[in-house]
Amino acid sequence: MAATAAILTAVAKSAWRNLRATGSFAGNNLTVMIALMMAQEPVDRPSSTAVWYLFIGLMYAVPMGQRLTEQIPALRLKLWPLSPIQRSVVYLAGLVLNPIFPLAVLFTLLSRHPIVGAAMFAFGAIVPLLVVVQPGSLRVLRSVPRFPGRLGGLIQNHVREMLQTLDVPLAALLAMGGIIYRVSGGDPFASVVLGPMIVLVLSTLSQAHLQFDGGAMRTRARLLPITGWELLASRDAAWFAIVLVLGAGYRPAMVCCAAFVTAAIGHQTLLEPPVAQRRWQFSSGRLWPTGVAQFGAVMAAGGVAYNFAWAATAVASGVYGVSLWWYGRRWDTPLR
Amino acid sequence: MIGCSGMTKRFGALPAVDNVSLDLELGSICALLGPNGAGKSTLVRMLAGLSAPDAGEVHMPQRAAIGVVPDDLALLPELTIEEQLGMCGPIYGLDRATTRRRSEDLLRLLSLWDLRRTYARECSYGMRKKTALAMALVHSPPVLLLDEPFEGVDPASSETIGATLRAAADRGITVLITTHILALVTRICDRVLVMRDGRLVSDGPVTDLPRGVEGLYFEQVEPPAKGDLAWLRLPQS
Repeated sequence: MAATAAILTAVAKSAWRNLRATGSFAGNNLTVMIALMMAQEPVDRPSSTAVWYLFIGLMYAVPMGQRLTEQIPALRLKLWPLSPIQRSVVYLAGLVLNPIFPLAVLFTLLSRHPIVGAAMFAFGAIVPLLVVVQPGSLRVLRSVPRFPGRLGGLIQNHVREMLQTLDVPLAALLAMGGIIYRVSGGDPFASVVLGPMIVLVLSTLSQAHLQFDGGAMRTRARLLPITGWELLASRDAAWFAIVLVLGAGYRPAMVCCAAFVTAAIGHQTLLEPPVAQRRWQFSSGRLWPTGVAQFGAVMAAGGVAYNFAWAATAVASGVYGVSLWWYGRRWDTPLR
Repeated sequence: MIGCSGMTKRFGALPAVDNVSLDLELGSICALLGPNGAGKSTLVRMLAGLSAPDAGEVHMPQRAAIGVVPDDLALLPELTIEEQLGMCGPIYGLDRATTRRRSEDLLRLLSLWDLRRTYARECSYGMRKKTALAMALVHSPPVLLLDEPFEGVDPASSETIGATLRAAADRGITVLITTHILALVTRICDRVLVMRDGRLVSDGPVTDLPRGVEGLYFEQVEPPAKGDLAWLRLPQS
């Protein structure tokens, strides 16, 4: 019993200290969009917005599953002399002590479709059992080639990193769904809305302070003879490449305009302390003010580009250029 | 001048580096020794421009003329060992053919050639350390700042790295290393600096140390008393 109590204390301490697990829930710009959709949801009839519950469900389910094994490394747990019952207790306690847990309960209570929320929560509980197969060893990433130019290697690294967040598959799902909907004769206006929405789903990834593996990229960027704008441009090139591929089926001016303003705002976090990202989770950035500003800017840019198309895109690209220059110059200022 | 003067760095009230000045001679290998927490890595990070001193001045050439192995290695996780070097070359102004040729030389020298298609995040610590070292060397910088280049590396590779650094210094490259591998220090270094509690407490040629590097390093270490950790024993039946 003492052994179990000691382990549970350790789990509780690390869960309490490591509230970053909530990041992919609270730090992703998608949260703003889903919260607004939930507020608009009709109560008297089935709603198509229920599908968003699936997304928000994934947003807490996946970190929930991964966190459990990270609070105490699996190898360490294996080394300790625990009985199967003790292991089960540790597993269940780890689930409850996870900082995502209260959020999941809150979501379930607030949802106008409690059954959907409950199902999501149940899914979150069983995910830890399903994550035995880690997708981290996907060899498909090797097929991302080196990009041309002096910064080609950096862009290649950024693309591979971004492809390991759940933002990209979600945006791909949205993009494919929209195309199928249009081909099958759905409301044509839906495809107009979906272009900026794809940018929005990917927008958190454009924040410049997101770092995999403990900020190694930031140290390397300081060591390499590259300027601040080159550093930002290499990251943006990777992000734009993904946005343009996934947004290819939609109005190009709306996608480009929304992408330019999103990236321009994302530069703002370059000098912020790095935010660690975890593979196969939604990216976690700064929701306020950057994420909210990106959300508003995407909506506004999409609307303006709907009416003024390439003129709006030209203005947005100008804003992007100024942002690149301004924040690049701030990176180049000697450290103090 | 390559080095620093009056450099100080504090973390809260704790001085990690306290008024350190050093002048590195061109074409020499200087070893920076000291116990864990002495301030070696902090000093190297400041010399490399990775963190700013609270006081003092850094006298280093521009970034393109420095090769650094930082304490966190700073590898790009989603690139293979080979791709890391392929990324660095063009950024330092090398053409593709030169980058490829130098990469192959370094990877073969450091016994990484057969593992060159392994992702950095899948590498062992020793492989990651050797990759970071190859990245520091690929552009042939006039100054090398290497934070513990031998730690975690197998003995054969350590010998190779040591010999490579000695040859580089003989060709005019200035090298500063931090390390705990004292046998290598004696063999390859020209000068030894010792830090303790953020201060430089000793500075001199390796040959002038009367009791050798080991004597300097261990002079304040008290051997454990016989009764220490008396509980560390076989359980009594």
